[in-house]
Amino acid sequence: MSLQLSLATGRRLLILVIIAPHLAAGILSFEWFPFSSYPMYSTLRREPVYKFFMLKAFRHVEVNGQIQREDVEFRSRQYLWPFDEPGLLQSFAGLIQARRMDDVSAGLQEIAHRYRVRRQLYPERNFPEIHGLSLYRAHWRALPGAPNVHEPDHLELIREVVLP
Amino acid sequence: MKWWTSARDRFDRIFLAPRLAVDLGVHRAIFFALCVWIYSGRDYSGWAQLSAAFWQPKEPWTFIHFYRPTPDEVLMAQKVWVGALATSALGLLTRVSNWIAAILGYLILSFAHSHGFYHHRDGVLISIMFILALSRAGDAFSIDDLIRSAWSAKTQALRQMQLPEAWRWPKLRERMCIADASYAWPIQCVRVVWSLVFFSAALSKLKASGLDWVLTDNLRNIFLTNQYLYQDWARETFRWGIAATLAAWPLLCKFLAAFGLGIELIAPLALKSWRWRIAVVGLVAGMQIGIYLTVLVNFKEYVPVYVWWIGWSSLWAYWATRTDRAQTAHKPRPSKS
Repeated sequence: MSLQLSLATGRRLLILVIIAPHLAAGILSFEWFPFSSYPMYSTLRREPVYKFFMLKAFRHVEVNGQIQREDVEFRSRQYLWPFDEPGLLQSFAGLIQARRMDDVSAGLQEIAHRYRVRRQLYPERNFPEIHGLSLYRAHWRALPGAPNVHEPDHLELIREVVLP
Repeated sequence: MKWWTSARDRFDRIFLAPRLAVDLGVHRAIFFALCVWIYSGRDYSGWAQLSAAFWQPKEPWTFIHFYRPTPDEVLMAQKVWVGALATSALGLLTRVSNWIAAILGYLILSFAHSHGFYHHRDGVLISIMFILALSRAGDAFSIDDLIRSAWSAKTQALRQMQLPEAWRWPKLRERMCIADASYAWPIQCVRVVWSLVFFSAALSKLKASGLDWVLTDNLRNIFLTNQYLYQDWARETFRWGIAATLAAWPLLCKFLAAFGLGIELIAPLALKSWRWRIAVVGLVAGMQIGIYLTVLVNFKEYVPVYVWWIGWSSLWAYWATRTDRAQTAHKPRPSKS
């Protein structure tokens, strides 16, 4: 009888130990993986304005004897692995928020360098040539279908790296 | 002390009412099989190739920041992890496999999250893996159980339950008859964790924005702005025009916001009864499919969690009873002559 009672009490305690952190994370709004308050989309978006970061790749091309800068679509997960584009921009956002601007430059340099190595390793994938990467802070007036996705209303250069 | 006894009895009814071992066993097998499906195709070694520039450690790596694994170590750990997920699904060395799956999963996923982005969806699966590691999930529907049965004819049944006559396979029935609170609390804990995920999300919205989350154009703006974050997927969905159509109806967006927030708030009611369970779990699943098509967030990792709401033994009993009835109906009647 006493063994059964202690078994039941032990199980009750175990259940509470499992559930309490999940409940506490929700009520007290703390993040401690794997516990979370799931705060995604909880802050208000009063205006249809999207403010985030934008990564652009560029290359230099010769037009009529003059060197011009040309933008290159640089969003594929294959180019950015192990990141995807939203993940990479979130990571840069974290670095900028923590005022680690040297790491932002180093990170851009690293992404560009890794891309160049991958381009040489897998020529069959026809990765486009790039000569540098720029990270911008961007604002868009959000429209249905995002027709202006490549032309933000406001662009502010944060960091740029040019590959040697 | 009466309230205490009453609360304790209610707690015991929810968490410790005896359940069949096979229920937990089937849940374990399907859950881990789906985890293999989700995680076996991913390569986490790339995170170890990154330099310290991107390093933004999350727990537990905030405590073990002095050590960063090499790509080969991560690749090896990932192989062992997926192997442990597979053996957990099969129920081979279940206890050990479950612990390896939980601990390595925790370390690998939190390591990936330590580079500036965070997938909240992984947290639920890791929590469930730890719950299973603490439970006796390998007692039925497992290779361990088959080996045990082969070695010993005696099953360690704690209580025999009355089962429908239609359950005809004697050996299987014998093993399925094992019922105990040990097989109930893990299932209920997973269901509580699932409920708290949505309830916490609703609390976060109310805390951060109050009722303005519903009463303003907030959801409409989320539909519109998320196209810019998930551009490739947005192109696909906007071909179908779901979010664009919804964004053209601000009042409908407010209704959907109220509906979504309401569903998240009532998620814990899924624990109340099977009728509530069907209604609430169905609504939450519908909401997540809706979010996938409009806000463009993929909830693939939640598929293994939904499985925990299915009562496998009840389903089987229902199916077996129906089959039995059908067989009786088709049996030729003996002639009077």
